[in-house]
Amino acid sequence: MSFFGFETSLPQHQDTGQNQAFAEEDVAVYTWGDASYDTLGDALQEAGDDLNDETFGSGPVGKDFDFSGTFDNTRQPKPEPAPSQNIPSGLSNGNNAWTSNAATSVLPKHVHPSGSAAAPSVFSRIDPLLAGRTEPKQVAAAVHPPVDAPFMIAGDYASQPRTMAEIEADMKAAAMQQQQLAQQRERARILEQQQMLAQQQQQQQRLQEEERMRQEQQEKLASIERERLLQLERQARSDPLWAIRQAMMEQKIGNQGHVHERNQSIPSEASPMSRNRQPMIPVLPSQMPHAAPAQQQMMLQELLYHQQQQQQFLEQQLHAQQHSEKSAEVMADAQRRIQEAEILEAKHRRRVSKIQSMARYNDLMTQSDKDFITRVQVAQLVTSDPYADDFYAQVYASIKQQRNASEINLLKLGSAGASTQGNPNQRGPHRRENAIQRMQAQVERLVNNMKSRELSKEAGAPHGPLANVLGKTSGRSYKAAPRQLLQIAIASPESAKAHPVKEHEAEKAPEHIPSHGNQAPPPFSRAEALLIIERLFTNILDMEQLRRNKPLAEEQVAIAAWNEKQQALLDQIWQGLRVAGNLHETNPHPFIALIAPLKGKRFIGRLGRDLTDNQKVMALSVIVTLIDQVDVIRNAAILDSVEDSQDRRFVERQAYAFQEHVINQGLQLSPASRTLRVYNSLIEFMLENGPVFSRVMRTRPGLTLLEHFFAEAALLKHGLQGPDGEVISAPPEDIAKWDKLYDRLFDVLLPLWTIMFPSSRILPAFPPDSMEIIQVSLVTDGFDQPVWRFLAGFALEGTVEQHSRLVTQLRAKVMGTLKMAQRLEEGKAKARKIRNVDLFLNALGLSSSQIPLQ
Amino acid sequence: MAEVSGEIQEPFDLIRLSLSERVVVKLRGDRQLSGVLHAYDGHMNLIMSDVEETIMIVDPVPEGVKPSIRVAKRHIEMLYVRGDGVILVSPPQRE
Repeated sequence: MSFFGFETSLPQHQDTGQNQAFAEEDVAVYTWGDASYDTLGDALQEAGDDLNDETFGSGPVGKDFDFSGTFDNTRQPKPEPAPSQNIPSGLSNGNNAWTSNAATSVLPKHVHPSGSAAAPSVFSRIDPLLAGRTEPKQVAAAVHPPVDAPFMIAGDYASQPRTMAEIEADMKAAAMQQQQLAQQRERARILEQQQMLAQQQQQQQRLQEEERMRQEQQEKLASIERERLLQLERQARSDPLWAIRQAMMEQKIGNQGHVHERNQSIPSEASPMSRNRQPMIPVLPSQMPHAAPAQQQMMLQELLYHQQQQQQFLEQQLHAQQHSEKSAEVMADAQRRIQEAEILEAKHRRRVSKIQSMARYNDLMTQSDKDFITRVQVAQLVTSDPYADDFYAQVYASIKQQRNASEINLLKLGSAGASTQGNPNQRGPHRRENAIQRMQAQVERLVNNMKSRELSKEAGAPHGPLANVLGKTSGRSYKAAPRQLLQIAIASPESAKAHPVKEHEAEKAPEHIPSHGNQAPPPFSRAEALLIIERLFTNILDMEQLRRNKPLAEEQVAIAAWNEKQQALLDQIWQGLRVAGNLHETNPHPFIALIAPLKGKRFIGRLGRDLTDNQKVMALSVIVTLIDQVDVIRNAAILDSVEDSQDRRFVERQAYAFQEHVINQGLQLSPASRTLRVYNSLIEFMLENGPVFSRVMRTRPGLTLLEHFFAEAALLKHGLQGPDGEVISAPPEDIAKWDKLYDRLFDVLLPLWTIMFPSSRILPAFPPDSMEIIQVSLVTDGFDQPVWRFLAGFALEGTVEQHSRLVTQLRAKVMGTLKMAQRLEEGKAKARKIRNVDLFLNALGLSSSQIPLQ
Repeated sequence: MAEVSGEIQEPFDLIRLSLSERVVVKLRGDRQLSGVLHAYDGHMNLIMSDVEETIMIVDPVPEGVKPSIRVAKRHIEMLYVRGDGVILVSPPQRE
């Protein structure tokens, strides 16, 4: 410790020399009165030291008066003590005591940052001895540091000058202790021998003698110990600061890891606190057990006599036992133990010095500093891969990769990922990975904790997940949690469940799995259907884009990939149409619901060429089977109204789109698969549910659909003309089936014909034979035309017998129409009426002109 | 349907659903349009076809007299609507 800038340190490079000098002497060397003694010791003021502690304070010295900035020099790293192999083994313990206790804590080493070189200290000028020469006097200086420095006191002995008599008494006591310890060790060994060998009577006697001797010694030792304790007590009473200093010393020792425990009857004086600081430090078996810092000096002297006393004791044993070989054994044993102790001590010293060198960084950072750095580190780790954001790490990795690639082998170039990550066997990257993983896990945990806290907060709120949608009103300050202006739930199954509105929708949603129980799921809402159509449109746009980017035919791999992609998109679209699946899952069927909007119908028209015939047949089957669900059939009633309205126009457009886009474009089968069998089945499907069929036939779209199928079937029945002029006719079994089906259809349709004409449904509302009905009939003629056309086509396929039945059934209609035409003036309207009737009559080989009116 | 609700993430997604569909558009100046929506943008500029425009006309009358409101309609084949006049876009009420 530098006091007012005085250099009071001992040059530490003198350590080894000092130790050696000390080792040459058996005891500490005091050089007062020597020739080389500079009488400086006399100049020291020895008296009046009692109040030094009060004057200078014995607690930790603050920085307040440390103007030269030399505070805390004790934290300078202490160089590792030189290995002590060359030191005589008997003195090694003593040396340890010097270097670890006396030298480091009792005599703090001052590495003056500026003092030694720039400004020679006062001491160095006064006393060359203290300036760092290698004279043996230094030992004396080391044993007795300048008394004026209260913080250099080794123990309470040092606070007062000691007389030689006192020191000698201590030495003697130590010698006794040492002797007794050695005896204990020896006794243990002998006990072992006792068990192994049958002990001789003589030896037993000797043991008894020894036992008695030991007891005597113990008593003697105990008395000495008592005396010493009394002395300590006296000192404690005389010095009020003794207790404080004692605590300080303990702390110092604790810091250095020197915790010794007495195995004597006196309990350990080391505080539990100091012991806890260094739990890793082993208790050395053969080391002199000591705890009280007050006994350090004593311990030193004990250690000095250790070897000597052991020798003496061994000699005694030799005389008593007359077993020379055993004494040699004991000697070797003792030597070995001492060497072990030395090694341990050296290790210990190294560790202590290291801890001490690191201790200079203690308390450099405040807790808030640490928190700040932790925050920075955590913030950097929020990314999934912190190295990805680190420019230098990236550059380093790329350089390393390049070097690796050029040096090792070119084969690894392909697996760039592997080389980036580095060889997992190498220790560095592996450790790095581990560290990243650990830290990432930690960050994840932090984030999860925060989330769960938020969740629990929300759960406590009355509005659940809807809380704070319109902004926070209470709780944390808005700086900590910015106001939420708008919160739109990102769709995920969980959020849909949590959101009350979404939950409702989720309940409504139809399940694809039919195991839904008895409760039928609700069909698509209009918005849902529109949404799905939009998605399908996106898909078809993607596919068209894909078609434009078709790779060249030569690139086999690219073509394969392209085909795969296209097929995936087509599958996606087909799945999106939801044709397959349970027919009666919902009402309307998902596919029917999808074609309900005009957009949906147009989509089918656009998709036409991308659907396979199989898929088209499936879709047609769905439409035919569930035709009463199709929107145009449902809304067909409005088509019977004569007045023009927006609704009517809307349905008109829908009906047109249905027939044109869905049936004629989208689901038009390719010639290859356009077989009679398919249309047979479709018409059969329509016929299957009677009441629905009769109702459907009364609608224009329904009739148009049937007409379409019927026309196709009739065409196929008569056979198509192939490209080379040959006639491709349908298989005979299909034709037979068709004939049967026609008969059935004829029977079903026969009673329906009259009401199938829209005019038949519309005109009865008007008074008969009025001008009004004729005016209306002009409008309904347009509606009737498709029915007449279909009737004509239908009649063509029938037999003569069927023709007569048809004529009988429709006689009234034909006559009524012709009568109305008769009342009209010549013109377009009249011509149309007659033309309509003639469509049918011509098919039967008749003509309206042949019918006599009135 | 969960997958369906997942795609509606912003208000414009709802308008997107009505593409090629008939919509009702309310405009500033007591006007209303009904037509098929063909295109829109972020300013709510709209392209519509088959539009029927309905204009509410309140004739200025002297104090104390009940104001008369006339409704004028016109039909437009194809119409570009500037977005700053659009108050709302909605699907038609019936269908």
